[in-house]
Amino acid sequence: MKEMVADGKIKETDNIVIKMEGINKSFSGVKVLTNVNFTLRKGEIHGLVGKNGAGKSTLMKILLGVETKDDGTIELYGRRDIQNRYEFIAMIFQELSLIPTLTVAQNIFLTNPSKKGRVFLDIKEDYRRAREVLERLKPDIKVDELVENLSIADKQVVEIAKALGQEKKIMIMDEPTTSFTANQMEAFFNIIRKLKNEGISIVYISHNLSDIFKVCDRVTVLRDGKNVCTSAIKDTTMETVIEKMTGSSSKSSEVVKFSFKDYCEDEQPLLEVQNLSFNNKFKNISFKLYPGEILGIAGLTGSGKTELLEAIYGIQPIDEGNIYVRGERVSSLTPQNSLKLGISLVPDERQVKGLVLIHSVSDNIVLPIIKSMKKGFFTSKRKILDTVKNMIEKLMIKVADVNQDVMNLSGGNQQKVVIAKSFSVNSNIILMDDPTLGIDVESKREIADIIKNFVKSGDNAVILVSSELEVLEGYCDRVLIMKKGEIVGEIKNTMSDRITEDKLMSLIQ
Amino acid sequence: MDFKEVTGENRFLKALQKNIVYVVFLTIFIFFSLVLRGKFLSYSNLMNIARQTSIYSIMAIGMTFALSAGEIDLSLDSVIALTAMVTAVVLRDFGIVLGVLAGLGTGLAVGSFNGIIVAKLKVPSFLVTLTTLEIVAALARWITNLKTIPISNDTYNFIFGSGDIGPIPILFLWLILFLVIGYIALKRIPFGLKLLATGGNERAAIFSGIKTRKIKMIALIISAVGASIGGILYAGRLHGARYTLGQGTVLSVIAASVIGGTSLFGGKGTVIGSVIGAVMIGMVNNGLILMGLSVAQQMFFRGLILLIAISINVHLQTRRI
Repeated sequence: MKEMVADGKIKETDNIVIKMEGINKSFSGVKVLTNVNFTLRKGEIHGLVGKNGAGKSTLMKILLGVETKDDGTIELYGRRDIQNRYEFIAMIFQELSLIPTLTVAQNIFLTNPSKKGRVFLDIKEDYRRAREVLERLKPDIKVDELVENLSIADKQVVEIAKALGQEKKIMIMDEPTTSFTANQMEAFFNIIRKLKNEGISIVYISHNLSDIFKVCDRVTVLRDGKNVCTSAIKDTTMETVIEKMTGSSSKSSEVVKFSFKDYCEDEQPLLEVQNLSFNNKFKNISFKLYPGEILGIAGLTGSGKTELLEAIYGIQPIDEGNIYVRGERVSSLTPQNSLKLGISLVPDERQVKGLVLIHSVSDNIVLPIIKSMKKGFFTSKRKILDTVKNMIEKLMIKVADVNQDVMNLSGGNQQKVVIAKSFSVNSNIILMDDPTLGIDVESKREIADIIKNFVKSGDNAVILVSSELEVLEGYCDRVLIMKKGEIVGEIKNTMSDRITEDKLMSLIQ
Repeated sequence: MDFKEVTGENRFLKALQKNIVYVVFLTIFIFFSLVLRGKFLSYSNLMNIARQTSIYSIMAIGMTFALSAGEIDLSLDSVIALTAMVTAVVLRDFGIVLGVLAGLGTGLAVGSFNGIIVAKLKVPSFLVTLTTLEIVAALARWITNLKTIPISNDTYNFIFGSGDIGPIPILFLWLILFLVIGYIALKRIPFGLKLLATGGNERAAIFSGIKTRKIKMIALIISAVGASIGGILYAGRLHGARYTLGQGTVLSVIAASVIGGTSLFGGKGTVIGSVIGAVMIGMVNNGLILMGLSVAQQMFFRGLILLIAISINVHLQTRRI
């Protein structure tokens, strides 16, 4: 591909490397892209934003040439006749394309290893070339290290090195920094700014608008498969972009506000955690959860919030500390015992920890309570059907029938099935780990209503961990701030002061 | 959009996916009925097939539990042999009841051994049972010093092998009994769902409060006990036990389960399917013999037919429709 550029067959017109015009695409009669235009210049970082389902990934698949378009033109380096555009464009997902058991150098040159003669691999040459590439990005990554031993941020750098190793000058990055710490994020941004100065063009897809505003030159907003705008970052503001993404000028209409409640400190807490510590994941965690409360926990990835929730539920071991439910000490920390005590967990990574994807909606919902679904010795189909129908109605889960495989549901409906599992065991305390991540706005709103109704009776409570700070702002009257495994602060809604996304954002840094 | 549009082609494929074992079964049945007119469809031949496939079917039911839990039991062959030997020896010295109990105990012991190592030490069952295959085979040779033990107890041979009640082979009745038990265990009591969930996504099962290690252990015990029931019935049918008994069985048993619709990757299992798969394999064996093929030719075509049936099935299973 270098050669093609070198002998002048591909020229760069006006520094525009990609020009997509009038792209249309429908899936089984449903229009997902309507007359979308998109251009990428040489040496630019171009943010692509939009809510889930706005058409970002379809547009990128069409750009790569792995999905067909119904209509429209695509010019790559001024040429329309290149079909296999993925050979020129690197797609960078989080960790996805690396092979963990191979070395950094082997990964970088997986498709184009150096050879001695025609047959033998030239490992030394690959090490040298890999070192050369990494020198530009992050010199402290060792080329002979196995990829599985790298941090997530370093893995991402290796992904980029791989693209550079293949001489690709265009990269699409899809949520590249999701599980990075703040420091890793800064280092990563420096790397991609450097790439930009070297003339690499980057499409940067992210839900995190502050990232977009930090690193991009231009931003394109998609909504319902249509371009809403493309604008230089310096000519726009985050508020404008949010407005264009949601299509509404008032942001708070999407969020359910709760009435302010003042918790009296002498009330019997539903759950109390004292000095909980485990390894270096979390230490000296103490807090109280009161009936009727949605207690938020905010923190960056790696702050230990997932581990803490899983420890309270009894999956993650602890070194020391105590948990009290309604004033009584919990003697054995196992999921079985937690469920008995009325504590359930809605785990993060719903497809990994929450659901048996190849099983039906019904089987998933009754799994934790299958013991109580008996009539005599046998399980009662009637009882199961009643329970499941009740849950489907209560949580507004959209299914064709209860025996449909969970695999075929949308993200939002899958999440509701996970929540239904917690509801079906009749818990008083539900621990939720990022329940709204990666689901559509409609389901988000419905889940907010569900949580709200759950605590309304005053007997129940929820601990809500979320990486989406606007969710914590909208749901909680009290939020604990976690940093590097410790609770470093707490903010509350009071008469004079309200929890806001901005405050949370600055507190967790 | 929540649902994919269900097109006509999709609906057909879905129905085919669900019922593929019956389609393959019928195809083979019709093929042999036409080719071997009279010989294949005779009452005595059909009963013969029932007799020959009942033992396989019972073991396939056991294997269904191991596979559904995401495990596999490769020690089957030697468990059959050791059980037959133990049963024959104890039977000779202490009578039927203790003989049968000792046989079942053999399966229980090997299954528990497999299960504990898999559950506690987290060694893949593939490796554990492949190793116990050898250890148990050695025991089967050891306890009688390679000698064959004949069984002269007619009651035993009648109940556990060659007897008929009226027109029905007694082995077939055993099959019906274990089919009912297996079906209930997998589909009608809480244990079955826990087992399938463990095989389908162990982490999600743990998060749902299920003791997945215990479940896996029980699954491996069930498959080993299934094999020991096989051993007891083989001994009764052949009126004796020899350490070579059961050799080469495990392939057919796993094939029967997979053809029947049980997933090798766990999470999906059906005992009825496994039995139909086993009967299908029995039918192929029988048909090939009746066609007058040599032993080598029988092996060749049986292997080929198994491969085709398994491929069709696995392909349809893993294909997302």
